[in-house]
Amino acid sequence: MNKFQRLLSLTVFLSLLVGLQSLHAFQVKTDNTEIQLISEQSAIVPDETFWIGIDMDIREGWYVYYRNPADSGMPLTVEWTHEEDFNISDIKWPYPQWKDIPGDLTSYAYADSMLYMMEATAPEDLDSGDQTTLKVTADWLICEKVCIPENAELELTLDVAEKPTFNEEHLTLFSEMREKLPGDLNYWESFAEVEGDSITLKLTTDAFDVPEYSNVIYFANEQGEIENGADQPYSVENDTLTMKLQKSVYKSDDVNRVWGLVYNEQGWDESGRIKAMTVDINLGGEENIASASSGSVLSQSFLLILGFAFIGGLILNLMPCVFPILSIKVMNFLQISGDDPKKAKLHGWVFGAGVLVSFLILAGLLLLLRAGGQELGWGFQLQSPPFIAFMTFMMFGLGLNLMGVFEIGNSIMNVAGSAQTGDGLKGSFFSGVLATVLATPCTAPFMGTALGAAITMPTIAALLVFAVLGFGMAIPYIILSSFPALMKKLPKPGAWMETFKQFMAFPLFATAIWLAWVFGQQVGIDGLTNLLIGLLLMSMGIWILNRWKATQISNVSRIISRAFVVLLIGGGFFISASSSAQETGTSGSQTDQFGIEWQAYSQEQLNQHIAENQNVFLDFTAAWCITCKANERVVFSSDEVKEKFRDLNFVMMKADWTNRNPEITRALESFGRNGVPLYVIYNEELDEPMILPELLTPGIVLDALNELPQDNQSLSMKDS
Amino acid sequence: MKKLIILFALIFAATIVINLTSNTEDNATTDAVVGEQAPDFEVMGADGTMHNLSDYEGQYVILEWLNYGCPYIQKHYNGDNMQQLQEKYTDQDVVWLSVISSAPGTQGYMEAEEAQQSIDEYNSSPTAILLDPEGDMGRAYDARVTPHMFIIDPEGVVRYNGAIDDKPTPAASSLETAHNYIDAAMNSLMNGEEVEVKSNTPYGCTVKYGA
Repeated sequence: MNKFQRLLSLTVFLSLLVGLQSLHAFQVKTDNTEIQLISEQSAIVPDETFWIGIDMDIREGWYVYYRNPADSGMPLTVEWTHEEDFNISDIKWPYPQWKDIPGDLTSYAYADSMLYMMEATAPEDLDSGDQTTLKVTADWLICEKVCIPENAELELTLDVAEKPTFNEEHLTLFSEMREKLPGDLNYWESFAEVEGDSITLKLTTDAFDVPEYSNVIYFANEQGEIENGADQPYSVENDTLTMKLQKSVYKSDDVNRVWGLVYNEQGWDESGRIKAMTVDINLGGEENIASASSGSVLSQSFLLILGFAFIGGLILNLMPCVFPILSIKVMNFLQISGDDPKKAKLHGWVFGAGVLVSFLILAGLLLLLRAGGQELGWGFQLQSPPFIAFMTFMMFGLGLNLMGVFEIGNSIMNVAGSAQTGDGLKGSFFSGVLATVLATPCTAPFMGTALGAAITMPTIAALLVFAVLGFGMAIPYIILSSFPALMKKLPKPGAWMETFKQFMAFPLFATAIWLAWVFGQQVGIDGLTNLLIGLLLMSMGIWILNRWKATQISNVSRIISRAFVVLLIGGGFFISASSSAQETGTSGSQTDQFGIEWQAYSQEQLNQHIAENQNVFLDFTAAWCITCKANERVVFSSDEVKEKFRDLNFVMMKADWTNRNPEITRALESFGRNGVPLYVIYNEELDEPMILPELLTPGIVLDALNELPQDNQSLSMKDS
Repeated sequence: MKKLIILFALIFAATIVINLTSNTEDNATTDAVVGEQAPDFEVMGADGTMHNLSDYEGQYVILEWLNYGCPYIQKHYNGDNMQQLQEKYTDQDVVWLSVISSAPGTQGYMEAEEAQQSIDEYNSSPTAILLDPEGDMGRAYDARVTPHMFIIDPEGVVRYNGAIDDKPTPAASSLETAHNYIDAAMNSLMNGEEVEVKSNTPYGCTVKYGA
């Protein structure tokens, strides 16, 4: 026999084998399964779609896995090895069973038998009358108490015809299994919201009477999304089913997709036959915003949020926190307007860029910290005593400089921008940065809303909000510098400027006092004393700096004296900054200077009050928040307001965010905020807690209280 | 002015450092959460001595949950992958503890002698194999599968919690293309860099805890 003949005979032999196989079921027996590749049709049509499946008989007591195997395991995978160009879908996974494993672990599993179904489309170029063979290698893990990896190579030969022929033998199996596939039910609406590590899934429909629910389970479609084994408590209210899921402890980034199937033993359709449906919610888009619990604020479209951010930025200029920097900015403009207008315009834009960049950097930091799971919010800088100490040093030092205690070649004022030196543009930039750093603690109205929305947004959207916010803050400077006509309205430079400059030290000292007070609130009297000692050391350093001017002494003494300066200022700072935040009492109550008895906030207590149907006024505040302090002074000094609160039997609760407090941060987030002030009224007749504006007057509070539904108790009081 | 900018930058950097260090102090929970203090343990080793986490203060500690009967573990041991990793890091003064939390009568359970012999059999080089038949240590760490891996830094802070690599299959061939998270994390840590992947879903067989 020559080579060719040998080859030919081999081919004939092989094709005979293939023919034989098409007559017998090509079943493979592994240690724990019997497995075969089957088709719903025994004859297929070119370019038409048909269903195939890997049919697995599973040894009693053993199980295989869902596409998300949960805490351990591995789903079946297939690799097609035939040559023809079939288009074969991914496996269509029916709903699995929930299986508890010792050690609080869970598997999503199939027992007894399983059909891994797929849709296949035959290639166009098949000829009727021929046969074609599908070949697949399947890998799976099968478990009882122990797990064993198994695999099999499967084949299935099908006739090609002009008309399909169905395989009577498998028809029932396919139709039964198809019923177990999750349906895409468009008459159900699904929403999800994420709060920390908790995911709330809401399902609702108005297509028909809501079905019964029993044994409702959410199976996530991907591993590592939720705690697969955690309880999934659910409740039904009106037409809405609400389920609580827990984010996976291994997931470090945000939940941005809730994708899985929900099982209901009673079914999701009228007939109750469809027991599982697919849920796929993208949390990046508007749906998330619309479904967030605080509703009113967050349901605004993204553009509206940007609008608020812009206005918020504008208003930032008017907030008390920016006030001290005003002195620096005003002088900066004075110097520029003495110069040529083009340069002034440029400075305006550079200042704006400084503001914008620092907003973006702050946003980036905030997002990073958020990603790192830090329980921080906007204004967090002022919750950190070392940062407060740093700011106090800066204010005090700048004040001394303005006073003329010391001057350094280009004085610190240049940090805030000077048009006279080559560093001018850089100066404008940094003065923009400085303005921003000082503005952050006062979350103005609108700003809180925009920021609160931003923190729940995808990174890009959040950055955009911050950018618009920064632009809003920068725009007055840009306008002023672009229209010299307006600048002319600023006073002309002259000898009075030095007086003005010196006078401007006082607002800075005042700011330093305010910062020191905040610091004292955080670290107590000893810490405050440390800060004052630190300031003393710094002023000594500055004194040395000025008494022995660099140009008047030898190199050696310059080095020594400068080393002293660094030591004094650095050491002073470390003495101050080493004071750590005190734990403020987390329970009990305190009476403030207005005679109001405040309970310290705790979620537990709040829940208890709500359960007892008590009226609660919740005040989110912080020592460093001037807006909060102003509100409290204005509102609670009013006897009328106090009387009203008393008449309505209000529990007054204060959530003090002066120091870092994760519980309060979370509570703020639940209202879509990440800054103070925030005022919330709870009343049993209200479906949702009432949120008051961020700038309060006695009138606003009284109106809000009068709007509350009156119950009997309060009617018996002397209400008008 | 430049000097002042630098000075303020330094002070600012110091602020951040102080800030960060004070952060790690106020967290004290029992789970092995990345960035927080690792739960302490006191477990008998197959070598007959007690092992405490506090014994290893000042050293990196790698924890590996072990069950020789598990196909995923077999992938890493038959492929000499786990042994290489153990050797590489124990050579650099890192403590490697293989923990067996299988309950008596379940897959992977071993008496001390048998476990100690397995070190020779597999030519592996852990610092010790810890015997945790009650599953106390496993539960304290919320170890779910074998191999479930943890890295604890010299200060006792958890730096990694999750899978050994990115190929969740028992197929031996997967080792060739796998990206080993432990190697990557240790590399970053020893170079003083931030760990890129700090946590992910561990894969493997369930830890065979007693009911």
